[in-house]
Amino acid sequence: MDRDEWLDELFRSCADRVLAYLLHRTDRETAQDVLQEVFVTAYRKADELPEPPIGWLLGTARRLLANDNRGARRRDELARRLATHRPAAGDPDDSPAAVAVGEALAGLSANDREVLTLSAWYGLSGEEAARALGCSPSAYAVRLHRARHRLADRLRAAGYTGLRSAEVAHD
Amino acid sequence: MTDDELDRLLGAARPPTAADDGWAASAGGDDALAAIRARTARRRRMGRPAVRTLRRLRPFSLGIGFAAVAATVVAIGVAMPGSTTPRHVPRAGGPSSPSGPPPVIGPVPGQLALAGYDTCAAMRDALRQHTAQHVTPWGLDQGRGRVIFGVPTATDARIEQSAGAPTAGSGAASTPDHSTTNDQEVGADEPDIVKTDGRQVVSVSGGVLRVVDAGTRKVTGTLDLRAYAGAQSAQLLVDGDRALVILGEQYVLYGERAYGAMPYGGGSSGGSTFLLVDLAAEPTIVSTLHTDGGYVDARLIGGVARVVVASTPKLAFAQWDGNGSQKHAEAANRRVVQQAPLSAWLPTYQTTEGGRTRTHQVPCDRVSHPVHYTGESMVTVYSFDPATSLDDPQPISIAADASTVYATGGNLYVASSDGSRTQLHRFWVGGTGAPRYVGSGSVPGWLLDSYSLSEYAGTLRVVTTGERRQASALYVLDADTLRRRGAVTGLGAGENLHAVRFLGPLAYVVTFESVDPLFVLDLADPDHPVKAGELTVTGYSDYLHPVADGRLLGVGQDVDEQQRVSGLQVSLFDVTDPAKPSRLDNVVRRHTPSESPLDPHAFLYWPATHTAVIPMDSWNPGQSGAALVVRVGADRLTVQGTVRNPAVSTEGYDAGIERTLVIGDDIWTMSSSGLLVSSLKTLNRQGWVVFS
Repeated sequence: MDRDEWLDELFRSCADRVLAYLLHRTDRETAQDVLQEVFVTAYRKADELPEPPIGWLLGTARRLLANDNRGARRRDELARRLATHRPAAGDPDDSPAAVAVGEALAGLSANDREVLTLSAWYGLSGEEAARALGCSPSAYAVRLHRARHRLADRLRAAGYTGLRSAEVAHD
Repeated sequence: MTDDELDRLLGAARPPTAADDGWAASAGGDDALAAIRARTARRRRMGRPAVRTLRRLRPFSLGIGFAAVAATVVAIGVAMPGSTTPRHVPRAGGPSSPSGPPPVIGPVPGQLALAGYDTCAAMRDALRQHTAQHVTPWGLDQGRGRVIFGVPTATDARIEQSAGAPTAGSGAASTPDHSTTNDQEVGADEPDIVKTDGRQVVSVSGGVLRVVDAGTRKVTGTLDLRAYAGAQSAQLLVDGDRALVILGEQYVLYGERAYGAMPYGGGSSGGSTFLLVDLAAEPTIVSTLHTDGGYVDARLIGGVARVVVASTPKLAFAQWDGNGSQKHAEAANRRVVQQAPLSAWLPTYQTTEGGRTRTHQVPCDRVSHPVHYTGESMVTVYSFDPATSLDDPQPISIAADASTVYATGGNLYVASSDGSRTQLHRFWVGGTGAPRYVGSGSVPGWLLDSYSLSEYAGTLRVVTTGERRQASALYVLDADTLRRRGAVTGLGAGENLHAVRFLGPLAYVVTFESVDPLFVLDLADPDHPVKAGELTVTGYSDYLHPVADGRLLGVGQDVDEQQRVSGLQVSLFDVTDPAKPSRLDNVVRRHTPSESPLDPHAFLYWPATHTAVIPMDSWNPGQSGAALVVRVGADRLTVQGTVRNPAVSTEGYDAGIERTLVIGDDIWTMSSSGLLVSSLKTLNRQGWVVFS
């Protein structure tokens, strides 16, 4: 398989998740620009890419976005979206619980948010998420554990009382 | 709560994206992959990878010897602590420096400032000192690591006003009336993805610039920019037969070993590239400008393009990796700052014309600073006449940061928010040469976007908001000194700020949590602004547009009893009596989301026929977005219909209507698949220009 074919395959299998990650954090046009840069970089560094590559790709997307001057100013775009996001009527995710989780997530630190969403939203394994964050898998496990605690604390503080219902008191 | 339960809840809170349903295998994915292939192919042709971006990996590669290269034209007085500057531009005092002569407003006389070694050395020392105060074990702190709620800063395309002010054909009797970009201020044209002069339509979409003849509705010229980084978010300013293409910021990986540990290890972004394109024949790039800083915003004012760029110092910090002493790492980084040459801070740029590339550095005698600054970033304003070239962009810099740009025909304001305050910097741009830095000031809170700023009758009005759901406030500043004259605080406590619009001596402010208070503020007496009226309705507006006869159009979202967004809402407000604003009518399109907050450039109001056009997204994959066409009557809104561009992709990601123009008797709606021409009167299809 030559390098072009390899790139095609990499793109078809992973671009969805990279783009979703970016769309959660920046505007559509910037997301497209960064997405392209991620795969151009992957092409250049094909020999260095681990298998599976998704952790490397998201980690690269993450760093490219962080380096963006404009991105730097909007780096809490995800927090802003979560804090002001109002699920649309008729949307599958319109449960009050989802709103409460969104608000709780928005109240966490950017690092906690990153740790929690990498696995829950983009399906990264512990090892892949660790690669995306540039830390060891064991450090990731600790960070995830702590971040989950802080999220649960916030949910409890917001009145989310447990498993049974999706009824959550609003603050 | 169990981990499983948390994961389930987290999953449910994931906002859906356009990439969720097999995007990579769709037509949208094909386009992106094609662009990536173009980029990698270009790399191969160029022989070595990423020439422009790799350059940025070597801090200090530009010696101070460049300092004199661009030292020409008007010099701006350097006012650095400890320097002896015989003459400098009168600086307006910030809040902490109440005295100082009022700045001279008018053409800059041929001032000369001393650019001797003493001055530059003093500048270097001051920058070292100021920057060193913000050093952390990871590099510079930048104050950007904290969570800020409810403060969407202006994105590239998110700035602008009075849509579709009809412009009579310039001279040529055959040029039909046409709309213009919905600019915030008359006389300060904003970059956008489409521009028309009534004869031709120049657009940039999907990384391709196209010229379409308005009469024949044929593509007469194309320029494929996809081999350039940042092409997907390119924007345009057009002046006659010249287009300035503003490519999106370039992305570069540096600090390879510090895998995402801390993003701000030092260095700056990959910079930004500007292309001057001649449209007279087949579009050709005549000259390029590459800045080391990231593009913030631009304006075309009186035939001169003013481009604002923010850069960070090129400092080779080590990143504390968790091993060794944190204190030691911080001390080492402080030494990096204290030993850095002045060139680490001075912005650099490259110009390319006729195959020749030259590198320049902003000379130190064209750098000034506000009373308070951190040295962590530099704002540079580049100026040029698109009719000539980008070869001499006459930069001037100040030690400041920039996230929002607001301009009138005479002044350009740069704003940035740090922590809890917004810093404001004013540049005079009334002439054709380099701007003049007039002064700085600050107000508490953060800006929503450029619409939060307004210059009027010698005052600068600013609306800011604070932490999430903190009350918003309005400040009236003296435009010359940027010192406060009056304020109205406590607007919408417990609510988020959604929209601001200034019209003459009045300001309209929308805040929202569960219902929408529209505040009317009377600023006729700048020293004693007052809240004149308030209106509470359901839903909220995030864009306000003045229409005729004391009417205001609001575009936003309707919200149901459970606080869920239930669809696009357009409201007609009567604001004839500032004390008694009322809603005359509203139109709700359930299950038809619009982009929220609405990009003002996506909105069109055509006064001649009282027609408003608002883009609507679609939640259904496979269905393209549409635009709602509304007739604005004296006291009611009438839906005339919808316009829907043909979907080229079946995935629905790309076919939303992004912009609307009026040329003669036709509405032109632009999506990434093409331009649809419809009759303004009947909305019947008149033509379709496909972007292939």
